[in-house]
Amino acid sequence: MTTNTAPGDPVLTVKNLIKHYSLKTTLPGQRRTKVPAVDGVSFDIEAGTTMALVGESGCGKPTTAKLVLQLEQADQGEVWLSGERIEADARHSVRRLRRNAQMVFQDPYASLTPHMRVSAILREPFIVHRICSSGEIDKRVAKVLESVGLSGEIGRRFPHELSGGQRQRISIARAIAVEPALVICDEPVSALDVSIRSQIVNLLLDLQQSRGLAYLFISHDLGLVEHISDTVAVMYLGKIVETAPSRVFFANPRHPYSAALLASSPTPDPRQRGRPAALRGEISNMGELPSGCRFRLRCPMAISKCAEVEPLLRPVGEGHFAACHRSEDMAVPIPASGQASGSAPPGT
Amino acid sequence: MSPLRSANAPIAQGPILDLAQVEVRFPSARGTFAVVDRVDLSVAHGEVLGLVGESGCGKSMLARSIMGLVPPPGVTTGGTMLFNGVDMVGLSKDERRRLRGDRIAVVPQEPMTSLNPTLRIGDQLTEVLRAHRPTMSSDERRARALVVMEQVGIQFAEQRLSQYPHELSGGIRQRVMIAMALICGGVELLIADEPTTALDVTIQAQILELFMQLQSEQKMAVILITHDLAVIAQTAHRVAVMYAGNIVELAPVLDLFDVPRHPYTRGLLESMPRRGISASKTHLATISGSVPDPSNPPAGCRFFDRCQFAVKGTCDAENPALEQITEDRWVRCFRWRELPEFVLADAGAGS
Amino acid sequence: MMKSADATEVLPSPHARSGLWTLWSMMRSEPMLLGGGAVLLLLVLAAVLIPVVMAIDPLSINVTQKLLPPSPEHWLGTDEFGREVFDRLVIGAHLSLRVGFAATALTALVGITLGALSGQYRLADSIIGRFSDALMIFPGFVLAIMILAAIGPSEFNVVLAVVVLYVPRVIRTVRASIIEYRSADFVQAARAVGVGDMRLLVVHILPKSFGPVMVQLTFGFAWAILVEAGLSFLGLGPPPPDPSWGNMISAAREFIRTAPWIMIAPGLMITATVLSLNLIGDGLRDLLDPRLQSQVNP
Repeated sequence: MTTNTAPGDPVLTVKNLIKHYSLKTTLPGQRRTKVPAVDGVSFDIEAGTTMALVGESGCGKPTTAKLVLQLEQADQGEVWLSGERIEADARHSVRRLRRNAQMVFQDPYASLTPHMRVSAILREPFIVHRICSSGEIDKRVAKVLESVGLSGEIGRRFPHELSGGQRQRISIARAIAVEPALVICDEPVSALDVSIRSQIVNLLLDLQQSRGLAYLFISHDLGLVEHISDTVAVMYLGKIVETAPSRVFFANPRHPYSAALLASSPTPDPRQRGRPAALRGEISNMGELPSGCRFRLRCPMAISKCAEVEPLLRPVGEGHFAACHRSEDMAVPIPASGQASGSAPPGT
Repeated sequence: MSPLRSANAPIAQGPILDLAQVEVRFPSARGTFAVVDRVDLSVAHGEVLGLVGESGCGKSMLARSIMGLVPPPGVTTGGTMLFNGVDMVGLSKDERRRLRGDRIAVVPQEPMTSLNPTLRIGDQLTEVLRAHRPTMSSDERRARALVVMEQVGIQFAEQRLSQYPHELSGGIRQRVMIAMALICGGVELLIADEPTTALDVTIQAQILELFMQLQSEQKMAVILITHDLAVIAQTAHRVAVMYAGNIVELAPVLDLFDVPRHPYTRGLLESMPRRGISASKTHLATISGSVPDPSNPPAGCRFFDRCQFAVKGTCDAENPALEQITEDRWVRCFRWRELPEFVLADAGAGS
Repeated sequence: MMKSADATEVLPSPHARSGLWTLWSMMRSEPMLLGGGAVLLLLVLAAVLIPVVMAIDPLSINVTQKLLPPSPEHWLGTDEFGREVFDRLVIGAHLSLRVGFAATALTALVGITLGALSGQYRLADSIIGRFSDALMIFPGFVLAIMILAAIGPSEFNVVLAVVVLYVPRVIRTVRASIIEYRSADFVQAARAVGVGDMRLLVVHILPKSFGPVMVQLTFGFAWAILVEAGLSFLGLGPPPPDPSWGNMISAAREFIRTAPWIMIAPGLMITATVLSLNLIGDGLRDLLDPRLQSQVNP
């Protein structure tokens, strides 16, 4: 509604986002270590599409979401929404952002104000953005409840009287009330019961269809990600290490970490058992990053170059980028993946 | 590698654990209600039994009941629990305690909250031995701790002994919990309650691998509790599906995933997005509605109002019994014979 | 069938009744709260209604009738000027309860405002924080004496002293809950919707501190009554001849052997009031304790 983006234009553009946290010192006189939670992240999301952000805990996924929404201040970097740059310290700019980008949080038990009735929670976006006259608000609230599949009668309830699925529907209703162009979904179903998850996933798909929403979808469930995403970005220790159209990514990941993630996620098929765990070791401590590639200590393909030169995100295929010196070695030979442009061939 | 994780059930010589009519009740405003409702279940020696269900279905409470650790005000109100032929319900508190940690052990979901943050790892490991092997000297205990830490794949075991829980990563903490379960050396039944839910996928894969390796080495029986059917598919020999306090289906793992008999199991399997199978951006199959309030269960089948095959007059009249339909399969459904064939949407790309 | 109602999975709500009903049904499970509340209610009603239905005159002096023990004519006896102890007790209750209510209301107002400020703004926090720390160093009652010695005895000044003494506690409670909830998910969610700082504070965060503040204030009420009595006993309260429970006890000191009833009656009243308020406070705390709340749904 408030956007003038044509399909195909990026709704959200993030350029070189950086956020460092300083660790608390435990001893007096100890040097404050800075931890890069998000370290130079850039991506675009087109209108009506879903970009999934995957990676293990500690890789900076939720921080990225909060930086985009200005819930936390980035140290550096730009956020562009529907062609306009968001100025973190300009009130009107942040207001516009709040109107055009919304978020659905992971835990529906914690993200609704417990002492407010559902109707009060849903009236709030209309009030703070002065979207319509006060007489009209109730009608709009009923409408938005209907669009998430709930009856208006639920408005009189308090959050603790609702089931997890209902609460997550309320969260979604609140997010779409202002008719945003972008909704960030931070693990929106992982706190829900298994039998409820698909209901919410379908609702998100329907809303995207009917409203042309763009989603930034944070998840660790790769089955789900494959199902709902158009593009995938994999984060490791604050950096995007691979990004590609979903179909391409799942067919042929070109970063060893992505490949390991895919191999590690368990398949609901008892006939496909017995694959050994794909990765040894655990995510390194942010405070003590290795030289060169951040992944090399766990990487089954690491070579000496990986310790010396940090690999940068580079094109490895149509819309496919990976930050690995050995991406070419991972190409599945079926379609000619053409452009291995520019980079030195790895010495095996 | 693969024989360790074969999906075939092991040859059993009588059950190690045999539950009959086990019931756990909690008080409510209107009297009491059953969180675990007359469960019959047996676990064979050396078997991995997957116990799957949603939050509140009673799977964790059943596990606690087996341990004799139902949190008050809940109580185990009935049934028998034969462990190697001895009814644990009749045992004294002290006899129960001697079983726990020695012959029956638990690996919890969240190792951080299960470890004492103020004690060193070594002290927490040897504590178990102090309780169950009082005659061991402290050197022997320490030596034993190092052996099991090696077994569960903890590197630098010597240094880890003097570290505190917060200094370890999630994966290593979970390995410590597994070491603690194994340290007495006589574990016959291991109960793992969502042991990988708090872990990242790559770590989850490592821990599951470790589980299966230890299980086949030590020939212990494992009850693996989880909400994640994929984890079950990767590990269990047999699967029990729980819904609202009842076991609704019990079957060997291949049979369960190939031909689920209970509408709830079918619904769960259908609603999972599957890599390479489900068409992207299409609707997933759903189970409508939500889990019934445990303090006020419906009169008939507990799954009645969410079931797409339910028939009024039959299914809502009484709760069906768990019926044995083949030698090794049970299902709690009036209509299991009449259900249409189970086909996964877009199947074929499967195996 | 209800199959089509895919999403409208309306739970059978256990709390579908009105808010008042819920409050009552929760209170029923707290005998301390209920008992304390009943006693306090009785006291307030008595203080308000007795002067309406009976001729009460706490000041009329009758020299011929002084220091008489309790009897059908003089329910609680008479004091050294022949005044009715009963009458003075009833009117004294007015003063004690008035001081209590006024002090509590003012404490709430000032405490919540300053607490909100210091929870929200770092600069305000360091200034208000220092002041309340400084106030809390002194033993409360000694500080009250100092304040009244400085500004002179009067009913309003007693209220003022109580407020100054009790406000730091309320500030701390409010500030603590603001800091606790500032980064809570539901506050972040509201911020993401576009809710501004002020509304965030008033609508989303502050109500979370009402529970603990209510408990604090109940104890504050009891404390105010005790302080008033204590100050009156020392002659720093509202000056005679107007009766307060404190100055009645003070005046009765000389006659404790010959006419103990003059002291016992107000003493018992103070005890009963303070006890009932403490019971209410304890009951409220149990009721609002989140650990107990979570046990409602296992």
